[in-house]
Amino acid sequence: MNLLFLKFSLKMALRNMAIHRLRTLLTILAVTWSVATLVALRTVGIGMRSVISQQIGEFLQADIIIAEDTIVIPQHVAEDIKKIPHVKEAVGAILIPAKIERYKGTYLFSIPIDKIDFFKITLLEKDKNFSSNDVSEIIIDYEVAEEIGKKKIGSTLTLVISFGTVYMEDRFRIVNMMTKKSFLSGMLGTSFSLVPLGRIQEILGKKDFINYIFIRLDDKKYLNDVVKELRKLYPGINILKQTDIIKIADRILSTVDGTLMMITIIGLMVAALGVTNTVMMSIRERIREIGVLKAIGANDKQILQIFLNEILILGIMGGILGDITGYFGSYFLRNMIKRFGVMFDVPIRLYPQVLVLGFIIAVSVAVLSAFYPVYRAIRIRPIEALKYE
Amino acid sequence: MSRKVIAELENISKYYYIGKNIVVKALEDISLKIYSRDILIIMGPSGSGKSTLMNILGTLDRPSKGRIIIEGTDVTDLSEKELYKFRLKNIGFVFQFFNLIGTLTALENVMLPMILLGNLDEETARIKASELLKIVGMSDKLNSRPSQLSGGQQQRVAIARAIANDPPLVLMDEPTGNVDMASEAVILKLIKILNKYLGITFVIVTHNPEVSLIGTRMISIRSGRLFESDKVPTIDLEKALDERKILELQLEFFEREIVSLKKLLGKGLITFDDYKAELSKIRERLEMIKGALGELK
Ligand SMILES: Nc1ncnc2c1ncn2[C@@H]1O[C@H](COP(=O)(O)OP(=O)(O)OP(=O)(O)O)[C@@H](O)[C@H]1O
Ligand SMILES: [Mg+2]
Repeated sequence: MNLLFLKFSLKMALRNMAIHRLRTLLTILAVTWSVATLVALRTVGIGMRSVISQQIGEFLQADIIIAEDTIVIPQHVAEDIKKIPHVKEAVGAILIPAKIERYKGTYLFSIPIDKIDFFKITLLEKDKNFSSNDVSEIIIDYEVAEEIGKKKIGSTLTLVISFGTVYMEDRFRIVNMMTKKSFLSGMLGTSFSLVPLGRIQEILGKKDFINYIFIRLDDKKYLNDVVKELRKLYPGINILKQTDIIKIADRILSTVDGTLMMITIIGLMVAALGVTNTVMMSIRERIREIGVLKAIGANDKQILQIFLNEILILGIMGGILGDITGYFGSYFLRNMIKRFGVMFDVPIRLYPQVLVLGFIIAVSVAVLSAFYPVYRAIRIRPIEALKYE
Repeated sequence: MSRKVIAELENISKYYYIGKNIVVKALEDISLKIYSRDILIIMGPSGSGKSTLMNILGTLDRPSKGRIIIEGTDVTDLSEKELYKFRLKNIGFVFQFFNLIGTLTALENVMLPMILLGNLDEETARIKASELLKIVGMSDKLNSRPSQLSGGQQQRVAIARAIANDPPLVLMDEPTGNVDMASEAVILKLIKILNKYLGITFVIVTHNPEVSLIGTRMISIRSGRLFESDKVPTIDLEKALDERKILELQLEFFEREIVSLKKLLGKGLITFDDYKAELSKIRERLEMIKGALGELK
């Protein structure tokens, strides 16, 4: 290895890039941009996946959910299910859409007031619960409270329920607020509100009926046994396992990923074209120099070295800048997605595997897209190169 | 007196096949012995095959027929890889269009062949390169880029580069084809000195009869065939160009330098301080030359 020539060729590459600053800058920018999109999308993607199972579990606190569109499940079924081996808790509830202050969509989560702990909700004022099961009281998202301008606990709001043939407007008193926006509310692009089950049953005229049952097991390994038992006891029942929900969410994310990957690939192609063009121009301008170098006695490896330096600098710079931009860009991307209202808070972390991938792709794109022009430049015969105008 | 043969061409022919049935016979059965310490001048009309011959002699191109032996090595069938190395050690090139590497300074251009060969450390190469640049009278332009040098200056750097690895043979294809008269005089003198004191053998292709004055032997090529000119000019450069003429040429040269310096300043390529420093150097030399001319009168 001729280190001295390496140093010399590096000097040549750097000076050539300095002479053609703008071109170099634009090429690095193209590589940076494509790597940044890749890194940002991957970072947000991984972040999303990593919180999904955690968040679903945290919010639902249920391993199995029985869900029906209409309110047809007798409330005592929840108590019956509790008797099945390995079922630790079963909570009956009514889940229906409603509108706060006539315009702000929400999902009413109507639960027995003594079961509120089941859902492990973070409340603004600890232990402040509904006063009874039949009152017009509500617990709303802190963000929603801010949005409708009723920030204080104790104030009232108008709730509109329109479900089947029932239409109702009533004043509900805010008794508490949820401080942490949940995954599901994020996914559905709407908020959740808690109300006492008895009051909703009354409004809907469905006393002792529910449409959801949330079931928690003492050990997850009995999940399939319990599901089998439920199917036996209640044929035709609509059962959702937590793992199913995670799978559904994952499938949605995969489609999103696929679309975003297309954007990344298009970006990479643009970058590749940029590098090819830059290297081709750099070579065309220097064909005579290649001829001179060959005449003096530079061998193919040494000529390759000169151009490889330039290509590697483009790739490495693009890779590093792309990694940095991509990492910070993932914050931007997250906020952008959030603004569309369909996403929950994604934790942005530095994923080394993503950065390494971005860097490798930057260098590979640079090397691969420069391969052909450089190959041709090396093969040109010295007398032809010297004749080149 | 038998002198050492440095290069030998045996029955060299070069054909170019263009189209189906058209053959251009660029060289036809050329045999030539080049002796050590010769300054061989090759003349001939345009398209006669001079450059083709030089390229084959320089191992940049392969003949269609015949053999080439340089410094005792038969290079006819050497691989490309072997040829790179062979050229690096044995042959120096000077082309009509200077052909310095634009991204390297004058000093670095001269260092380049040594670094490609890789047998010297950086410091030694640097010292040797600056010595060579001193010989060609470019010691004050070590760190200039080719674009900052005049044609004649670039050609002098190219000559220093050609002899960087002490090759026994230097090939020049129209070395003064693109330089002014004053630079031409300097370059010719330089060739003469390098030949005389370093024992370098030169093969020079030229259309310029003045250049042929420095030759020790002359051949001409017509339609790819070689003719030995038996009238070998052995004119000493010092006598051919009398002292007054040399001084006048130099005067002219430096006056042009001032003009080009002004242009460089105008284009913002040099700073005003550099301009002033250069100008005072040139003025100093102008005064010396004028003084010398005055003494001659
Ligand atoms: N690559 C080529 N393909 C076909 N013909 C060629 C090629 N190179 C040279 N020739 C032909 O070979 C002949 C000799 O060319 P060469 O360049 O050696 O001439 P020259 O004596 O150097 O001319 P000049 O004084 O104009 O430089 C010319 O007829 C030219 O057209
Ligand atoms: Mg020619």
